[in-house]
Parts: sequence; C-alpha cells; structure tokens
Amino acid sequence: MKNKLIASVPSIVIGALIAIAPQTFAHACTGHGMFGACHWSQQTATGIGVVILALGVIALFSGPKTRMGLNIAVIADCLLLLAVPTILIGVCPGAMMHCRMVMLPTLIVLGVLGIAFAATGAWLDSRTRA
Amino acid sequence: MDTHVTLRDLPLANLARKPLRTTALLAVVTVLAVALFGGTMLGMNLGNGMRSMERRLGADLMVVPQNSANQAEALLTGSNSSTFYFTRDIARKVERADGIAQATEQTYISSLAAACCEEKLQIIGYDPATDFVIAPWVASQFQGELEDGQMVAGANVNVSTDGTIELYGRSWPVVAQLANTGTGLDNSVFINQRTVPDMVEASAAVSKRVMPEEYADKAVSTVMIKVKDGYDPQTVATNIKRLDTRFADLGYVYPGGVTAATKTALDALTGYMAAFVAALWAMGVIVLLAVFAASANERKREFASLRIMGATRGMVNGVIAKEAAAVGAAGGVIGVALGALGILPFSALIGSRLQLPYLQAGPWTVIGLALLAIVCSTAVGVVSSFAVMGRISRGDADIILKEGR
Amino acid sequence: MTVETEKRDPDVTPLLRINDLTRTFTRRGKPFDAVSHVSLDLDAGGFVAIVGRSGNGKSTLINMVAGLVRPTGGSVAVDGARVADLDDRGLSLLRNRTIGFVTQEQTLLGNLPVLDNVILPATFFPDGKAGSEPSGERGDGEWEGRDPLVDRAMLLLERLGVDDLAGCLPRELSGGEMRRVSIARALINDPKLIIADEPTGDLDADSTTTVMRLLRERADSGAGVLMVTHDTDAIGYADTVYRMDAGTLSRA
Repeated sequence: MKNKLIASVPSIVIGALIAIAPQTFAHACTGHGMFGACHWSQQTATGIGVVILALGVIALFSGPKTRMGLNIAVIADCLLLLAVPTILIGVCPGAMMHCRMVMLPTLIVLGVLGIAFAATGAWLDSRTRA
Repeated sequence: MDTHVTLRDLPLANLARKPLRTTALLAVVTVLAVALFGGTMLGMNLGNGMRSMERRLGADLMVVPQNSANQAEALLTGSNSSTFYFTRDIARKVERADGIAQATEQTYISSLAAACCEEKLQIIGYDPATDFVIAPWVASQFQGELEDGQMVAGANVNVSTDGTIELYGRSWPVVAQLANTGTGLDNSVFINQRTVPDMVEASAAVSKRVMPEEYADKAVSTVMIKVKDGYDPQTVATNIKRLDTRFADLGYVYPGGVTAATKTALDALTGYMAAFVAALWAMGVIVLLAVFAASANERKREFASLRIMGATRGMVNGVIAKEAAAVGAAGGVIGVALGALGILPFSALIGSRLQLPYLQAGPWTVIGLALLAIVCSTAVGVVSSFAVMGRISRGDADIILKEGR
Repeated sequence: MTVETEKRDPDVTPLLRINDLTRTFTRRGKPFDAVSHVSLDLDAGGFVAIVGRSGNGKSTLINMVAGLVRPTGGSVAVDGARVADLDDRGLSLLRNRTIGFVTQEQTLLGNLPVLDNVILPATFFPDGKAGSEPSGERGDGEWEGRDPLVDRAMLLLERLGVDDLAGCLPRELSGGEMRRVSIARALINDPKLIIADEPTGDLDADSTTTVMRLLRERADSGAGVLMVTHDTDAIGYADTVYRMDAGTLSRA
C-alpha cells in the first residue's frame, strides 16, 4: 500500500503541476504579436503534464510490476519535458523575459523532481518480491 | 566472496528497519542543509552583485536633468530603463566647474521591446574619447575603437547568431558581449555617442520617436564626474550650482551614496538571513540531540547486546556514529539538491524580484558551498550521536540490561 | 562459606577460576553482598549447573565472569587471563572469542534477520576464526559451496531446530525460538567457555532436550559449560550442581 502511494501520488501531483503551471503563474510571455517558441513550449508542457498525471492515476490501480513500467514511462516523459523548452522547441531568447525567467526554471524543477520521485517509486517496486 | 553480514552493515540495517525515525531525522537535517546552502548562496550572490556594482560605478558625481535623479538611481541599481536628457551646451558648461578631474557625457535611451520576444533595452551612448566609467570594464572583453553604428552588448542582451541585434527595424553589429554584472547594465547596449542620432532616427522610422529630432544630436542624459583629489562630490556640486542659477534645479546623484544605501539594505537582508539560518541550526541541533538522546534510552539494550557479543566500545560507538553520519550526509545531499533546484534555475527571477544587484556565483563556488553544507550536515549528525554514546558508555552492560527489563 | 571442586590442581590452570569473588550492592542505604566470597574452578570439558531461588546472586556471578559487572572483591580468571586486568579490547576479545554468553534477557538485534544475528559476532575480529570450517558437525550438504560462515550458522540453527526461521526478524519469533537463536549466536565462535543464564527458560520439553544435548556435546568435545537454571530437566545434564543461597555457593 505504501509503495503504491509512493509510486503513484507524486506522478499525479507533479503531472498536475506540469499541466497547470504553464497555463497560470509560469505562463509564456505575453504581448507578442504572434505566438513565439515559448507559447508552443507552454502548450507541449501542459500536454506532457496531462500524460504524466494519467500514468500516475493508472499506477494507483496497478500491481508493482506494472507500476515499475509506468514510472519508467514517467521518467521518459519528464526527460521529454526537460527537452521541450531547452532543445526541441525552446523559449524566448531574452534573459529577462517571463518565459525564460519563470516558465523554463519551473518546468526544469518539476521535471527533475518528477524523475527523482519516479525513480524512487520504480526502485521501491523493483525490491518487492512479486 | 563473503556474502554474510558484518558490523559495517548494521547502521544501514538499523536505519532501514526504522523508516519513520529515519525519515524524521532526514527531514530535520534536510531543512538544515537547505537553509545553510541556500542562505549562504543567496548572501554570496548578493555580495557578488554589490561588489560588481561598485566596480561598475566609476563616477563620484552624476549631473542629470531636473527631476531625473530618481530615474538615474533606479538605472544604476535596478533594471528600470528610462530616457531623460538635457542639451550638450548645459553639459559643457557644467564640466567647467572647479574641482573636476574628469568628466564624460552619457546619453540614455530606453528602447521599446525590440524584435519579437525581446525585453526593453537600455541604450547607453558614451563618448570613448573622454569616458572613464565604461571603458575600463568593457576593455576586458573588447579592445579598440567602437565605430559608429557598432554596439557592445550587456550579458542579458540577446545577440543573434550572426552577431547583430535587431533594434528599431535595423540590424546593429555587436562587437563584444560583456560578462554578467548582476546590475541593470546587463540589459544595456553601449553605443558611441555619435551613433545616438542614428538611433533616434531609426526609432522615428518604426515606432514612437524616442526624442524630438532637434535634440537628437545634442541630447545628454548625464555628466559623469570624477572629482579632483581633495574635493568631495558635494563641494563640486555646489561649485556647479554657482556657475548658473538654473543649475540649482539639476539633479545631482552621488553613486557612492547610492552604493552605500544599497549596501545598507543588503547588509540588513544578509544579516537577517544569517540570523535566521543560525537560529534554524540551533533549533535543529537541539531537535537532533533530543531525538538521539531519547533513542539512546530505548536502544540501550541493543547496544548492551553488542557489548555482550564482544564488540568493543569503539565498535559500538562506530555503529552509532555511522548511523548518524549516514543520516546527516543523506540529509545534506538531499538538502543541497533541493536548494540548488530552488535557486540556480531561478537566479534571474530572484535577481529581478529582489531589486538588488544579484550575481550568481560560479560553479566552483557552488560546488564548494554544496560540499560545505554536506560536511556540516554530516558533522551535526555525528555530534548529536555523541549524546547516545555518552549515555550508553556509562554503567555496566548488565545494569543497562536490567534497566531495560 | 567457600566450596571448591575436588579436582583442584594448583599446577594446572583451569579454564575458569573464580577466587573469593564478592559483589556488594546497596539496597535502601544498606550494603549487602549479592555474591559473597565465592570460589569455583571449572576445567575444560566440565559442565557446572548453579541452581537457587531468584535474587540470590546467580546472574550477578556469571555477569562478573563475563566481565559485564565489576567485582567488589576477589578475582575471575578465564583461560589464564584475569578479567579485571584486561583493557576494553582484551575484554571484548575474550567475550567474543573465548566466552559464549546466553543471556537471560532477549538480546537479539531487532533490525537484523535471524541468520545475520547469529553470524554477526563472528565478524567483530576478522583476523580470528571467522570463515573457518564448521567444527566437527557436517550438514547434509544443503549449504555446501556457500560462505563458510553462513554454513556454520545454518548448521547451528538446524541443530536447534530453527533453521527455517533464518530469514525472519526477531520480532516474528516466539520466546522459545528467540532463546534457541541466542544459543546459536553464543556458539558461533566455538567458545571455550559457555555461560548460559536460564537457557531453557521458555522452552518446551522437546526443545529443552535439543538444547541440553547440544550443550552436553560441547562439554564432551572440550568446552566448559557454566549454566544457571531453575529447570530440573536441565540439571541432569550437568556434571556438578551447586546451589546459590544468599550470595554464597554450596554443593547441591
């Protein structure tokens, strides 16, 4: 029971944060004439967040082996999340822009925390004898 | 290979079998490590920003237009950009006052957001011939003459890959980009003063004209003054006011005073922070001592068992110390990781929110601070565990066993 | 009153020599001797049982033998070494290598599984016998090819009928099971002197037989056994039985 919660609740919480944060306080820059890179990073991050949240919810109803797989998927999703604003899509170039100052670091922190929790969950589940 | 248990495994087994106690101890140590690591790093970054700002403010006195003194100060410390100016003939007259060793003119223009996804830039026009303020630290990145139309960019300015900046619909070549200073200057571009009229024209072409056309070639925002030895800036300011009755209305900014005021604010902040971290550590040590001392009582039997099996006093103390050190080190690592995650990615945000010069320390300093925090966390664990050792080494093992009955 | 074994020979140092041993405690401000001028020799291969009502100093006596309690007067010598003269390391080495102590209280480490509890004392002084072949007894080969210490521990647990509990934690065991595991732990280093405080205290008749046979076997193969007990079934395995009464020792 304890392992189940450790292996699912963090994904749900962090997934929700990843989905909500870019749409609220860690939003993309405003006032652009057209959508910039930060807008697309924002939308992608929300999508990835919803997926991580869904994986966490599924983990609530799964056995240890399945949870391990789900957490590995969460790790992969978090890596994707880290890549989106840095490599794949990027954010605005200006150092003092809101997307670079708030959205990028928020997503990085959430991504790293997501990986840490998912790795812990997977490790705990790998130790339980089936 | 031997696969059996040894005394070295006992501390970890003790921690693993008491997850609640271990988690509680870890949480306490983690909080301490976050406070020490984060607090020290924030304080250090503010100090770095302060020193950086002091180095950048080479003038003793700035003479600015009427009612512009506050804007000029904000420009020095924060990241508020602005445009203000008087005319060159006033500047020239000001420079004739008694007690001036060096004087140079600068022109400030606040740009609108330049291209898409750009922030406002502070454009600083300076005169390379008389300058003594900017050149000394620009020199570390750029030697030679700044040609008309060329730019030197501050650290936060986004220079495109072809080495230009898009501003007012034109591409301006950038000859050098400066290192981070943690001040408003990071959002500035520096141009030759002869380029200012060009810039004004360019602004008129694409958006709101930044200043009337007739001022474009004679606008001066500030006269930066270095006073002669034996004069203080206030005296020189008085001398300037004496030159012309109108000069009494000009703004006089003393960068030394601005620095001192910022320093006072910063000292207060770091003082509070240091006191807070110290208080937190004092409480943390008390909590840890209490937890360890309490566990000493309930674990007397366990340690007496080890003695009966033939463990030396040193072995038993080793088990206790290793347990504490493992918790301390793990808490330290987690704390440093959390602190780094909370501070490093957000350094730009912290700097802009604090409204104080904030310059992120370099990687080696951060690594050093991290090690310090981990070492201190480990040490606090080990020192607290002495409370256990003191209790169990008193009295015969047999008496201890009987007490546990 | 002082009692000596008949076999006392001044030329041969016995495995255990207790000489005029006294321990004084203070109860309600009045000093009293928990152990009063006790002398006793135990040779290798001997099996001595001490009986007597609770509170008559039996436990204090054997705790002094193991160096867990300091005597007020007199001396204890184990295997030629005066216990009072040993420093911490010497005393620890003696407890670990020469003496096997089965305590009256439950002293298994709660955070280690049974097997690790039994093995742990063998790892304190790694230059010693740790890892040597199991002495004498041989199992059915089930444990062959593994860590020799694990083999030896499993053999002892098997002899005591608790080998199936090797992976359990002490809190999952009954009192009698814990007692037998403690005995296995006391025997892991092939001690020359086995001290047992109520070794059959919480055991049923079958287990008592198993334990006493094992202790008798150890005595027959050259170890000295000093046992404190209430158990009349256990007394039968001893060579000599003493009675402890108000701190003094007498032949029963």
